[in-house]
Amino acid sequence: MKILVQKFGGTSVATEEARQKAASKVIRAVQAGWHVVVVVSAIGRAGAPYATDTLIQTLKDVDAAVPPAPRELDMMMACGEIISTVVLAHTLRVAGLDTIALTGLQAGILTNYQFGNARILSIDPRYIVEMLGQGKVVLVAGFQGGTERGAITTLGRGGSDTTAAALGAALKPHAQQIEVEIYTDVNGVKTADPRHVPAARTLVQATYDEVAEMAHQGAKVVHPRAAEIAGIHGVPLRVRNTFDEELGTLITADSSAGQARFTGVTHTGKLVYLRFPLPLDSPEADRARVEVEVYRLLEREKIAVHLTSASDADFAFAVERTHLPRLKELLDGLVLPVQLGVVRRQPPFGTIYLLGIGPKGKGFTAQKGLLEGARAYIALGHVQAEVIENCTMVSVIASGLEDIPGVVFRTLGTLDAIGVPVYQMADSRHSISALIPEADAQKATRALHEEFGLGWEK
Amino acid sequence: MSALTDPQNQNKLTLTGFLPPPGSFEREPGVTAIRVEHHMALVSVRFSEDTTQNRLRLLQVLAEARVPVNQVKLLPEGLCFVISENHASMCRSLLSQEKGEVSVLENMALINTIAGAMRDLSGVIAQICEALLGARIPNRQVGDAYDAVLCLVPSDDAPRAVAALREQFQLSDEALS
Repeated sequence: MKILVQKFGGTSVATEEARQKAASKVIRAVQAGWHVVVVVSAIGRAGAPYATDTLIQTLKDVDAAVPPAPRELDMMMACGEIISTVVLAHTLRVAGLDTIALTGLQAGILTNYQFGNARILSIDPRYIVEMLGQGKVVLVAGFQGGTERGAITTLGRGGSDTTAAALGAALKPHAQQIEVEIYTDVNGVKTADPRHVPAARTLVQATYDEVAEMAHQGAKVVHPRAAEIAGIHGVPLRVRNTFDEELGTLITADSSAGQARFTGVTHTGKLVYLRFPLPLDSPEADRARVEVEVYRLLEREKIAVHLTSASDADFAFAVERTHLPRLKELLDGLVLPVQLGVVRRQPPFGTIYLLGIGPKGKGFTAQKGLLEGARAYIALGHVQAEVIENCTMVSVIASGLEDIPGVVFRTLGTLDAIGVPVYQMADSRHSISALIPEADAQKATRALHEEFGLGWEK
Repeated sequence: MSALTDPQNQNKLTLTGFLPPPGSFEREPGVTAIRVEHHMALVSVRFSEDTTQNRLRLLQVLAEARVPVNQVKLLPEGLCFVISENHASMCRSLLSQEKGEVSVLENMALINTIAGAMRDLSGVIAQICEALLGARIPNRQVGDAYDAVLCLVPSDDAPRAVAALREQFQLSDEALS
């Protein structure tokens, strides 16, 4: 049996015209001899009658002060996909296909109890396989599954992509050939966001790793979780445009026979960068202690950090800009005792670090006044964090970066040549990232796209 | 010598190389594995003036000599980066002809703490730094990617670092293999 999983996103089912386009893709696949499973997202985006955001708002409208129970919220959110699945199933039925519409749970998707961001535990595809064997087109509501006790759960961001990739993985043992097509409103994975880089081109092929990296660094075509699941289970993914006939981008384990290559340039995040310089005479262990205490505070506040770095005299990181006011509250005037448990016969009997953030705040000033009186007994260090606001991260994505010397130099050199300051860098197996002013994001993306030859067909 | 502490064990880390445990359908968020890369060196360079241009010049020299640099971090007065120990003497020689005060710290190990959905999680870095501090292991550099936190520690301390992280994150033997 040749099985094709086709996933249609919200814009692909938003209007009657779009649904007809989607239906034509299904019909063509059936005519080509595929057994087709269709995964469907909720109709439209925020504001549309059955879009996920609209459904959530319906509950909030009951009483904005009382948050909905997570279980019931998931039940509500899942309705959007169920409605669009039934509508598309009926559209296909009118077109002459034999169809059956299934919820995630009916499709055999079993999840844990983490409402709102459930993890898939297993998929029992036997019912889907049985229906495919009867010649039916099986339509599955995306973004959802269910617990062993029958509660509906949702899979979090990119949930319909996840459903499609996961069904592909579950159906793979039952198929002689399997492929998953993700239909969206762009014609594949692009080398950059075409709104910022007109020269961006569509990649003919890409690897799971490249696409996951691009998605994590800001590209919005395929959710990284879907790419990860497809990669783990070896299911080919193809990203295509509902509204044209292009072949799109095929995503597999290896797209370039192991050759190093550049894949794209992305940018993401509205970030704030914070650097904490310790006094020059501080012992290195003190840096580590202050660093741990600051990270612990962030953990308690559930604030994730990026672009971390440390040297013997400082440490630094970036956080989402929305966290800055809370960070200022937490860190301005924070007193961190270090080495106070060590018994000493003479002063100083320990060290205290006083933290400030940005221009000296009230907390810092007040604490400093209080602590000055103790200077005869303790060593006092001031850690005045430098804050750089309005940053974003631009990333060059590549395969085989270890085989391409000079990428850091070319990245920094390109940005320097166009007058874009770089505050910090980060690198991983598949990307080099630079933290830059948000206002320069478009200029930087274009320049890097050109520097790494991404506009050319290679 | 186990794969974990084998200095020759230069893992090439790929997404598809980190399969979920048997029976699991997808990777769980959070720390799932630890990998160690030995034979690393930390290079720190400090300039007295014109930091941006001197940084660029230095990176150009290394690029032309085909010395791969990783974990590049910009410091207010310079930069630091990690290279393979094989390139340490070449790097020293090249940089001795350039501006800047250079220090090369050899016999280092890069500890990769692999974590799913890092960008959505808080606390992984705090727990890693805490575990290393608790074990009195100097953490010379720290960096992060969407699926890993990287720490540079002296190679001799790498087994203790792994043990501390294993305990911190309650990892199984499989997570270290």
